[in-house]
Order: sequence, then C-alpha cells, then structure tokens
Amino acid sequence: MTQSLISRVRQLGRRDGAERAADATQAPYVCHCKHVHYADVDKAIRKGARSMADIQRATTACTRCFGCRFELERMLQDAYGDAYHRQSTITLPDGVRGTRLPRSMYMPVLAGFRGYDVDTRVIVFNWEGPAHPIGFRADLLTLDGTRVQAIEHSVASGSSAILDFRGDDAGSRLPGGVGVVKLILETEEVGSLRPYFHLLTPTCISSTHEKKGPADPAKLKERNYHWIFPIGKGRRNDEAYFFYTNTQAVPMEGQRLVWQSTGGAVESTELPTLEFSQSACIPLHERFETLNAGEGGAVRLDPPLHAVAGFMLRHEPEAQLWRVQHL
Amino acid sequence: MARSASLEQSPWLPSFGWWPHPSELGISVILSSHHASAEEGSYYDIVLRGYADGPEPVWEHEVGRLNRGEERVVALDGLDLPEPPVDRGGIVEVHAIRHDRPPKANVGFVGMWIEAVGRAGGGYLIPTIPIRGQKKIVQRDDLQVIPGIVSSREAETEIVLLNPIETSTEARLVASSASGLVSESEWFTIGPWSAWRGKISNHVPRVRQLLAQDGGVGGLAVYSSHKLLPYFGFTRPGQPLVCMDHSAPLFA
Repeated sequence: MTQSLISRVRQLGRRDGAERAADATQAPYVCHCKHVHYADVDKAIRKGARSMADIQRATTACTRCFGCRFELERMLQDAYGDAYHRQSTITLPDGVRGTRLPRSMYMPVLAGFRGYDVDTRVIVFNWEGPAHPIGFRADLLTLDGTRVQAIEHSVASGSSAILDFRGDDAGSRLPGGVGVVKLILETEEVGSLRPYFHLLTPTCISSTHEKKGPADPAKLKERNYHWIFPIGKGRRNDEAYFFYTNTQAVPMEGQRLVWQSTGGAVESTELPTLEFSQSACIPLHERFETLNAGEGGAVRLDPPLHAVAGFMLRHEPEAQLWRVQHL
Repeated sequence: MARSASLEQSPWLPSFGWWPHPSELGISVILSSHHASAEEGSYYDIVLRGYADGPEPVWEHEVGRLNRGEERVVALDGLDLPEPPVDRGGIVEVHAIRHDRPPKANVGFVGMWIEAVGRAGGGYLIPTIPIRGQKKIVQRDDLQVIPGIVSSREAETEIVLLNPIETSTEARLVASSASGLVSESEWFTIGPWSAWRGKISNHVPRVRQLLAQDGGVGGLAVYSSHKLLPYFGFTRPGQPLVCMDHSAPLFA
C-alpha cells in the first residue's frame, strides 16, 4: 500500500511559472480542497489580483482549509516582487464567507529529527463510518508552514489508510527532519475517522491521535484552563520537546511556556511568533534547567488564549525510546 | 456504584487511569490547578484511590486542598501501597472535587495527568478520563476504535481495558486489516472495578496473518456491553512498553 501510495504523491515546492506549467499534469491543483488549478490563479493574477483576498474571491482557492496559503503567496510574490505586501491575517471576502470550514487535523512528523533514527506513520481507520469511501488530503508542511508534499487518498468503510513519512524520504524535504502533517477530510462527518500516528524507532512504537484545529480559525477564544506538559517525579536524563502548530488564522504572539515545579522553581521562555499552520518544536530540557531535577511539576502554555495543536514528546536518546501524547 | 463515583458525594465525578504493577512502571499523578481552571478563586479537594477487582478501594490517599496556582505531584512509589494484580494491574482514581462552583452541566469532572516511567525505560503520559460526566456526547457507548494496531514479529499491541463500574462488562476485540478483512476475539468478561490486559495476538485469532500484507498494521474495534476505558500500547521484542494512549470514542 505504501509503495502504491508514494507513486501517487504529488510533490510541491518552489517553482516558477514555467516549471509549474510543465508540472501541470502532475500537480494540477494549487488548492486541492476547491480543485483550483495553478493556471486559474495565474489567470487571476494576470487579470489584476494583487492580494490573497483577490485570489480567494476570483478563484475560491484558499477558502476551505487555508493549506495553500503559502503557495498562493509565493505566486503573488513571484508576480509582484517587492510590490507585494504580505498580510499576516487572512480575512475571507464577503463573497466566500459562507464557506463551511472542516476542522483540519494536525500531527507532528519526525523523520530523522535531529539525526535520530525515527520515522512517522499516520493511520486513518474508517470503522462503521460512512458506507462510501472517504477522501482526504494530507499536506506535509515544514515548520514554517511551507507545503512540501500533498497526498490525496481515500479510505473505504472498514478499512485503514496508512501513510509513511520516513527519514530517508519525507525527512529529505523537512529541514531538521521535523514538520507537521495537516489532514483535511472531504466530509464534515468524522465518526471513527480520527487519525492516529506512530513514532517508529528500532526499539519502540509510540502513538497518539491528531489534534483538530478550531471550528472557526479566525476567532480567538479564551480558554478557562491552561494546556500543560506534566512532568512526573524522579530524576531523569531524557529529552522533552513541546511541539505545537498555530491552528488559527491569527498570528500567535506574546505566548510563553512557564515551568513550575512543586519545589517552587518557576522559569519561563518566550515563544516565537507563529502564523497560521506554522509550527515550533521547543526543547524544554534545554530551556529549563530544573526540569529534570526530579521534583515534578508542569510546563504550561500562557496565557490560555490561542488555540494550538500541541503535543508533548519525551525521548531517551540512548534507548531510542519516544513517548508522545497530545495536549 | 462506589461512593467515589456517586452523585450523592459530589457532582464533580472522578476520573481514572491504569494502575500498573509497580515492578514494571512507576506512576506519578500530576495535579495541576492550571490544567483544571484558569478562573480566579478556584480550589479543589483531591483524593486518590486504587481499585483491584472490587468496588471498595484497596487504598486511599488524601492529597488535600489544591488552590489556584498550585501544583502537586504524587509518586505512588512513595505511598507504601498494596500491589495490584501483577498480570493486569488495577485502576487508579483521581477525584478532584471543585468547591468554588458546581459544574456548568449537571455533572462534570476535573481530569489530571499520569506520567508512567518504565523500570526498564519507556512509559507513557496520559490524561485521566471519566466514565461519566464528560461534556462531549458519544454517539454510542458500546464501541471504541484504535487506529493503528500492530501485530508482527517486530512489534505487538497491548490492550488495557478498565471497567470502573460495579457491573461486569463483556468485551470483544475485532481486528481489521488495512483492506478491511476482519478477525474477532471471543467475548470475554471484565469484572467490576477491574483492569484487563492482553496482547492482541493472544486473543484475536490469526491476527498476525491478517495484518501481514499491510506491514503488520491495521485497526481495532473494541465492542463492549457497557462503556469501557480502553488503552493501547506497543512493545518491540525485548523492549519495554512504550506509549499507553486511549482509544477513540465515536462522538455524536
């Protein structure tokens, strides 16, 4: 299954207009959700589209999952050069505001992360779901949100779809061997279609499920609780990474991680500003000196404002053992 | 219904996790007021309990008051507890009762976290989850799924099923290959307030052959006569258990 799937993978990256035209038969869509071709966007730009909103209005591209935002912005940058001014926030134009947004699902991808022998596998299980096959698209994104691979697939009732992201394959497209897979179902109905992923090493398999983006990515909603990364008692030498993706169409800024131990230690670290679908993987063991001292406590995301798809990773390098859990 | 899960005690119902045998995994229960609520003036009284094959707890540990801004970590190793069954473990209950206000619905729960560290490495992080009182409505309570089971010479899936109610629960495991072929276990019984643990290859007939054409990977459906709390993890030959995640309910 994996081999046949790989043969269907469309690779997307930095290309100029001529290369895109030459690739048209292999990668016809810049927006897979709305089936908008590169040629449609080129045409809209030639007719005067100068902004993301113009392209959205003219083509309906980037009005569903926003996964093609960076590719469209690259096309605008190619066309207008310095005259193009990027907007950090996408606002849907009036004409397409009624578009229903599926809740995108996010999972971290470790594929040779930091030189470690670790791969990622995504599984979508359609058990007692819709009787017809459910299509989905999986975008492989770098941490800066650039889409480097798009996989279109479907999963029949009673079956599973399995996608492998190996260090010697996907890892070559991901700087640092780390990225995120963003999965969009073609249906609002989810049921059992809740993807889980595996982190695979020669000595272990660790697994948890995806995290969904908010129903309305443009609306900031204050949570009445903090997301935390719990740290148990006992001195240890393992690594701890906080992985998160901004799932809102609003820049994530002014956030920090706060480590609070039961012994009274409080340390904090500022987080980088992330735009929509951008991710970061923060090595907590390098930021917080007392994290592994043995007292236990929790690292919290503060303030409890922005919606992220967050995951906690613990790693014992010598044993090649990973533990992963969602926030 | 045990007193801890009784509405007569509080509309804030308990949450649960697996209590593995301490020879395999060391458990820390992380109690964070930040995780419970960011509201000013919130505070909780917290009790931990352990169950092993019966409705009465075999141990109880009063953590006491947790005020907003505070965190506690309780390592079970330090509590001088009786041991759960070595082959399947038991159930640990985290009962955090909030006092400054009732739940917004009629009932609610305050979940916390468990970090398990394997004596031989590995382990898992897992939130405690309720059997009653969650906000999300499940579509059906007799089915939960585990996408991505593995059964091959290179790896095996371990299933843990928690039954934190007073009634015995019947359960059946149905493995499915990526292409949709299935193999079913026999129905089996999990006693009240008990944990069940097993490798899928020991319970689902010919599951390795079933999954072989897809690299040993498939899906699992857990059917049960009452709602269960299923978990799954993986082992490689000669390696410790790594990961213990919860299954996926079918939400309405």
